[in-house]
Amino acid sequence: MTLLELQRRMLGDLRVPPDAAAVPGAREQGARDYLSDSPRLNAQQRLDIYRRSCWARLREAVAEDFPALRAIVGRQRFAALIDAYLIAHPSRSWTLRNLSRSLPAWLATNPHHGGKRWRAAVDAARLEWAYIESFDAASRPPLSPERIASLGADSPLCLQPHLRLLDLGWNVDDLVVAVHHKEGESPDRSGKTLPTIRPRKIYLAVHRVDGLVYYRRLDKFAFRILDALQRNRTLAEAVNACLESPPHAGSAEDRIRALQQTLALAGQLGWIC
Amino acid sequence: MPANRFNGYTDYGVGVGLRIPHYDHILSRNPTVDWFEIISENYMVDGGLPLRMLDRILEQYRVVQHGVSLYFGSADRLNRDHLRRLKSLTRRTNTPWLSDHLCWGSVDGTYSHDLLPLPYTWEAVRKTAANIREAQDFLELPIAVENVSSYAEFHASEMTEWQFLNEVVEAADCGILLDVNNIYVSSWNHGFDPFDYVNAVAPERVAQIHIAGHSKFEKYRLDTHDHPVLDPVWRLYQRAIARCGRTATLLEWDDRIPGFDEVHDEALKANQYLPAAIPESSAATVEMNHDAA
Repeated sequence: MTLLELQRRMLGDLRVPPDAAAVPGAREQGARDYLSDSPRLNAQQRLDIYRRSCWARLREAVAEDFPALRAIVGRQRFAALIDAYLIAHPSRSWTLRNLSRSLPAWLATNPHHGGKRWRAAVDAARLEWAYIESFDAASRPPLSPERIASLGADSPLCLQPHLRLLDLGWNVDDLVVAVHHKEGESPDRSGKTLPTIRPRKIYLAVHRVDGLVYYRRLDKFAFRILDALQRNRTLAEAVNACLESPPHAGSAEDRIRALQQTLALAGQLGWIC
Repeated sequence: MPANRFNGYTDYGVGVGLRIPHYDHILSRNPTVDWFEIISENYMVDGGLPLRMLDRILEQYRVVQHGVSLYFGSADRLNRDHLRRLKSLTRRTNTPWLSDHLCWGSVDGTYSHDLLPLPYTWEAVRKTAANIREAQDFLELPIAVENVSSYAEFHASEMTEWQFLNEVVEAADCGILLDVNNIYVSSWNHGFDPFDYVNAVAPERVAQIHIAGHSKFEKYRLDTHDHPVLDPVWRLYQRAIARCGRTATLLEWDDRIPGFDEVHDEALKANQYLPAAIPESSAATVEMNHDAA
């Protein structure tokens, strides 16, 4: 067996969860072909030490990223969800930080892992992943208010790389804030009940100020403008796209005022760079 | 060795691993610490709090980078994105040397995120050394490779672990990060004498030493970094220092992390085994006499 063949074989064996019986389709190969026994442990037991350690690390990494998702689906379903996700999406990055990046999209196509409130679960996963991305994304020097005021309709605008925009169908932002708060509190204060989540259209900006991640609800118009700018549209293109896509109620003056308010807010929060 | 080309000719003493629960203590009380070791991957990001905290630490302390995912022993080629980010971080930290593990952990672009043991074969020597040389050339820094704790052995092995280590570092022309706790754990798991290992390592290539605690199970020892250093590990450390001389030493404590003072006090126990640093004037005399000889 060459080094490459041996490593393929061993990684294949390690990718089977330690409690594989619970996972349909999981297959285990014998470790005895390439590992030797010791006086105290046989080859399979020796491999299992690695398997337990690998899976514990991976499971913990995903669980740490999605405490609000766990609150929605429940602990037992969450554990099964993590294993199913890790089997479907083995890590393709050198850093554990990226391990969960495909989970929101995966959950969106696997409703049986989300339970009765699957759509809320998907929204929570999207929001918690946005938090991770915003936490350590780059930050650029923001444009000054004077510079923003001088921008023309065709000026290309950049938004902060740490800004994430989400349109949600449930008020999972209330839950995420509460769960993150609860996790940071001492155990004696962590018994507070979590907020109820309900179906509700929410446009949300996830952004960073002084190293901390914040959530800000936006109105639909502001969301659309910012979303278009994030897709590298010029200001004129973004406004046109917004006005063309119905419904946007209100007079031309209302729209101009809404645009000015959006730019003022984005400038004030340092989102335009 | 006190200072050699594998640790950038530095003379670092006893340091501790920089861990998030200690940030507040370190930044508010500025304890006297010779140096900190950081896990490179924790700071290979584009921005945010991790880099902000690192910059504050760098204003006051010397930092050495230690990695966990280069996987020199993987049959895959090294990941270029990883190397580029790593190089960018080394420019931020000015680390005099950089370490990672003598292990594998990925194949065909899929990552285990574990430090998996290598078969001690000549093929693995060649592949691992080639990867280390590539990283060393790209990063333009000396690299020290760390022996890992292991729980399994391969039928394919053609030599002992310490022979393998020596062959790799010779072929790669790199340094060694000698982890005496890992030697102890592996010796218990595989039934060899840990002193045979320490006595065989090329002392002139040792850039740094790791000490740590481990956990005892009925049938094996596990490298958990969640305890103080155990006596048999201190004895190995003493032997390593006797062979290598005063060497940069780092305590790893990664789980169930106590307060900073407790971790630092545990690390400073290493000082009782370290010979006093040679004053600069004496060192110069020794060097001149050596040259004359």
